[in-house]
Amino acid sequence: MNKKISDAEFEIMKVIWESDSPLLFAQITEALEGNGLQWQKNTLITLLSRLMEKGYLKANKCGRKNEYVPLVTEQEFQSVQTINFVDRIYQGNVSGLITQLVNNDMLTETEYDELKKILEVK
Amino acid sequence: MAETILSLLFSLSFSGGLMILLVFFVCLLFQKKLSRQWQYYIWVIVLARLLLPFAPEQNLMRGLGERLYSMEQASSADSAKKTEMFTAEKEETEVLENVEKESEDAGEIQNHVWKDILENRKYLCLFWLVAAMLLFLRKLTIYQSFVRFVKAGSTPVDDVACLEALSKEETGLGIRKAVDLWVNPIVSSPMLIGFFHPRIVLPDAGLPEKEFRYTILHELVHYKRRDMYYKWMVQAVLCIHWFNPLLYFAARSINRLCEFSCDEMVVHCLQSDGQCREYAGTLLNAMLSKGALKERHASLTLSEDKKLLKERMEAIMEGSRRNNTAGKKILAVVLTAAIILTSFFAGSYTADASKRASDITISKLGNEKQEKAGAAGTGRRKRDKITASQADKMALALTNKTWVWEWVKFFVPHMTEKGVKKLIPASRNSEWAGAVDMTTGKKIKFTQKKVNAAKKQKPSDALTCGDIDSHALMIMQSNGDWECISFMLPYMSHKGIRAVVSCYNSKHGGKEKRAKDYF
Repeated sequence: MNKKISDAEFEIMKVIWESDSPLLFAQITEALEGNGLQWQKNTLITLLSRLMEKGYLKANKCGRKNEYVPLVTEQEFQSVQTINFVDRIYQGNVSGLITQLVNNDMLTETEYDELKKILEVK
Repeated sequence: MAETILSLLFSLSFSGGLMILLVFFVCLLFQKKLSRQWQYYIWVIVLARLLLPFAPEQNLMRGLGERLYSMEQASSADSAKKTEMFTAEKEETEVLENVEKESEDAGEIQNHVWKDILENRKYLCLFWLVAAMLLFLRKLTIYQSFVRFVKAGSTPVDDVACLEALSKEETGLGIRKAVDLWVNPIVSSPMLIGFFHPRIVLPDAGLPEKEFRYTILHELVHYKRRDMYYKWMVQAVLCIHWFNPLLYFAARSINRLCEFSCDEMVVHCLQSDGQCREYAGTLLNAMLSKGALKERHASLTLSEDKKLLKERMEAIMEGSRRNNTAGKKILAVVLTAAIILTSFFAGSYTADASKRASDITISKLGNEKQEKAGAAGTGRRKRDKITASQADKMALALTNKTWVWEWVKFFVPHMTEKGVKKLIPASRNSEWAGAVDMTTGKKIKFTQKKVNAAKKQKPSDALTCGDIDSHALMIMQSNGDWECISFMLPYMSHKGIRAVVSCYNSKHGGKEKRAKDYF
């Protein structure tokens, strides 16, 4: 799961995470087209097989068709990516990240309150 | 077993070698008239000839094999018999008479060489097998480690535009499988690797759009034509026939033609002359890239060496103007048919060899029933063994008919105790009992002393049909009496029977008997 994924692969993962049930190939194509991404069939196959190789996806045989099941949840992915990001950019210094967020007015009032609550609980 | 495998192998290798020469000269002769594609795929027939031991009943290799076999047979008999064999063969094959006379001395030496080789069959067979397997294993491991090395250092191409271009070309060529696209700066030129998960590995992701397209197109054509499997088939055949130098030459030729015909197909996909020129430029650029890692065996690289590249450039430019006329198509079809037919009739030694193997096992089992059937119907091989009881029968029949000790003596070392004991009583009751030797004037008798002396002689080899052949011929040459040899006929080979019949006919003026009647 630590393996990086490309932008295109991330688009696919988003589509799969959005859906509650496993998706068929045609459904993925449809959803991507809904997001404005019209890819050739083989491009999508290549990207899907790369995701499977990296361990993000699993294909279940469903008759003659493949059903794609995510092996990683969005939350897991985000947390791993965030840790990587903080490690890489802030050398593990979380307060640096938060300072940046606050300084750049990226946090709204409500978000700030939510963060406070989480900290109090811990 | 070893003999069957070796004769099969050598005959396949030899007929395959002939096919290689034939195809090579056909390609040379009609180079301008035939498409590279044809020249490339015509080698499949040669490979099939080298791999598949199927052939019609009558073929070139079988004829050659029989010739070799009779040579070997002659060398296994002792020298006196050998000269007889030679005389027998001379009578049979009048065309070859002069040649054989001249080469008799040389032939004898050769016979010994052959004998040595054929006696060590088992080891030869084992040596061949081990060498073939080691070679193949080596090729496989080299390829595997190469692939692993390339894969380890490569990164997938994430640019969706590149992947889209690749997919578009795939659809254009009718390829359904998605070929992956990777980059590895260490490879010397773009290549296609992987059997089940094909991937194109580029040395550099930042190719200009057109160059990228041509490179991809070239590799995809390789994939579409399954050149990987073709190359591995060539490698497999090369391992099996590792001792045949002609094959290395053929493999080189196929490798070159693989690239040539791939270029041809790419050019066919391109529309204009200008595009062809750009394609040639792409090849040149691929050549100049800096990557160092090359793979010699079975990956499909865009450009392999400089000299080949120059030829390819010329072929591409020429190919863009080439058109296929009906005449050329007819020529290709006719030549294909001719080559397939030739390969079919170049044949192998297999059908014959397997038949002989089964004959040998039958005689080894000593199954009386089978022996009788064999004697009456299918005819024997010179190598077939004669059992002791059969020797008994022949010796007793001979005693009854001719009563010449020297002729009977021939059988004694191979007879059973019981059979030997019967000899002296039989000689007393024979038609010729009490005959007188014409030269000495003494009565000829079978004595216990003679019998014992003959019994003491240990036979060097088991009695075979070939021995019976020469013995019968010797008797026929000295007295010309059919009755004296008729009982040996069931134990003789077709060749031996033919020799005896022709000797009989020459003694009795005119063709009174036909060999076929006794098969």
